[in-house]
Amino acid sequence: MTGTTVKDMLTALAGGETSEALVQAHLKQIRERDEAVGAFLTVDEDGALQQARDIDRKRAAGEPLGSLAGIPVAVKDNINVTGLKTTCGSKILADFVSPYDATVIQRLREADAVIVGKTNMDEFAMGSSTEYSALKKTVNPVNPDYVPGGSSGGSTAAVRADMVPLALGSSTGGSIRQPASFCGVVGMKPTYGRVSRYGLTAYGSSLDQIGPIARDVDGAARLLQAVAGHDDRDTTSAYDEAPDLITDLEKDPGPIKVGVIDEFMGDGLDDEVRAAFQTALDRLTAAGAEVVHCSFPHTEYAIPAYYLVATAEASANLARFDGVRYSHRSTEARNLKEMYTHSRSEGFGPEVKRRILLGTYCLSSGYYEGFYLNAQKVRTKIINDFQTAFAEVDVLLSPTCPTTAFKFGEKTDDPVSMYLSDIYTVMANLAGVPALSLPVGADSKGLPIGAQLITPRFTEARLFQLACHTEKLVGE
Amino acid sequence: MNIDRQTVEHYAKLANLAFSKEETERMTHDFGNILNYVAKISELDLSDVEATTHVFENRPLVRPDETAEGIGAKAALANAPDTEAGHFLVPKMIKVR
Repeated sequence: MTGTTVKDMLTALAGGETSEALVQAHLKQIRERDEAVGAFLTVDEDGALQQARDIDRKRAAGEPLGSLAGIPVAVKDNINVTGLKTTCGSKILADFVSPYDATVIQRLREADAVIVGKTNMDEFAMGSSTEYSALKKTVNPVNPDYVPGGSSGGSTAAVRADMVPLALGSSTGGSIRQPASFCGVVGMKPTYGRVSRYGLTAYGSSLDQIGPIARDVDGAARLLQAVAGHDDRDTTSAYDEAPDLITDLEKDPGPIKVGVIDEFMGDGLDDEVRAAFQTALDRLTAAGAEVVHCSFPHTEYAIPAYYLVATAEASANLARFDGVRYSHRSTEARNLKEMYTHSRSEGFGPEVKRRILLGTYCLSSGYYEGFYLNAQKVRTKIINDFQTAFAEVDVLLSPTCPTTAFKFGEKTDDPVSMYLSDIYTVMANLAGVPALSLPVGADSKGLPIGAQLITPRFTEARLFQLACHTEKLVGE
Repeated sequence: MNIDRQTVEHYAKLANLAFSKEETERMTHDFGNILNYVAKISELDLSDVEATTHVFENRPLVRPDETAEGIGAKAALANAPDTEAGHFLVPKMIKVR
């Protein structure tokens, strides 16, 4: 019962299969696989089985059921679920038990999904390999010598290893698409404002979005459909009606103009990734798509701008972890100031400290204009580049990452080389546009290769339709 | 851009962080590299460009002025390292002469 699509699972459940059996099968898969993979930080066996039995009872009684009734879902450990830990992969929150549900979790419950557990991540979502988790090592299920990507590496590994059919991740610069690409699953970052951030531990508030991870495009569309839409508790949540992603998902998309970003196709792009991307593009062309070359002249400034904006926001957001209301408290302190400093210094890992330091620096007097403000101006330039491109094309297609998954320890000694792993994904976050990564092949080592589709703001229905079309063509 | 130990220590203090000697060495090295990298944006002429603070203009969010249930004091205090009589407890912060 594991290893199939959500669509097939829903059909089986409608045909008499129980959610309890489906959840049991996935819990068994977790018990068998997760010691080696390390995707989960918390597995809520009893809670999941209880939810499954409740849904089975509702179904037997003929009560109305939600769109994901009985389907197991995993949740990244920076999203709050009542009664479960929210560690954010950090020692500083190792014992934090959430007293409330994030809005996305409330909506999953309304959809009758079954929450099975919480997944590993880079500490506070700062990283691109899940190696910066202070709590656990997660490996790539495809090959344990390689990282799963990050920061939502636990969620993508859990889906890839058939431990859950669906998982939620979060993306600030590429943290859903990059690990989805490395693990060979579908991962999607919605338009900024499409999904409520209430209950998501903030990292870079103007960039963060929660998004779906699934084995196929259909599964990801169903998960986003369940959690999207306006929420009064998030002031950046858009009023736009959440679109219907399912009805026209498999329809012929009609004539398509596909934009290829020239700046992404130069140096640094791995040959095998380039070849797999070209094959996907050729299939689209053969099916009638027109290819247009687009220029994004600010590509090389995207990662620097991203790190300035994200770390500035992070330095403010992470100020709340001071050992007063929650989080680790140092026993070494003699006064209040020392308590703050010692608690934070003992609780945060090195990458989090680096980013807080950079953020503090670039917000400080004398550096604010040159760094933070100018980074926000670069953002405007990148938004303009997208507008220019979308005046010509329906969708932008690119490799998701310049390479396939890298080995453990390969990039941890050089923070900047780790940052460059997000070079193709980060612009969608800076501009707030939706983007999706889907598998388009594997390299000679068997490591998955992903391609990314990007469309204009609030056009998720079209994005998923085009992704579904591409998925079919690549699979043929 | 040259970053010295004193600069790292100054900003660490502002951020309520403290580093060991080894950490400061490592941080000084990494921080210099990262700053040199992000300083790349200074190559651009941005004098006439508006800064983006929000990627889209949302309508102001208003709601009826009605009370709603919170999580309650017990749940709010449940994760606190130290509490007393329904309050968060912290080390003494006022000096008595």
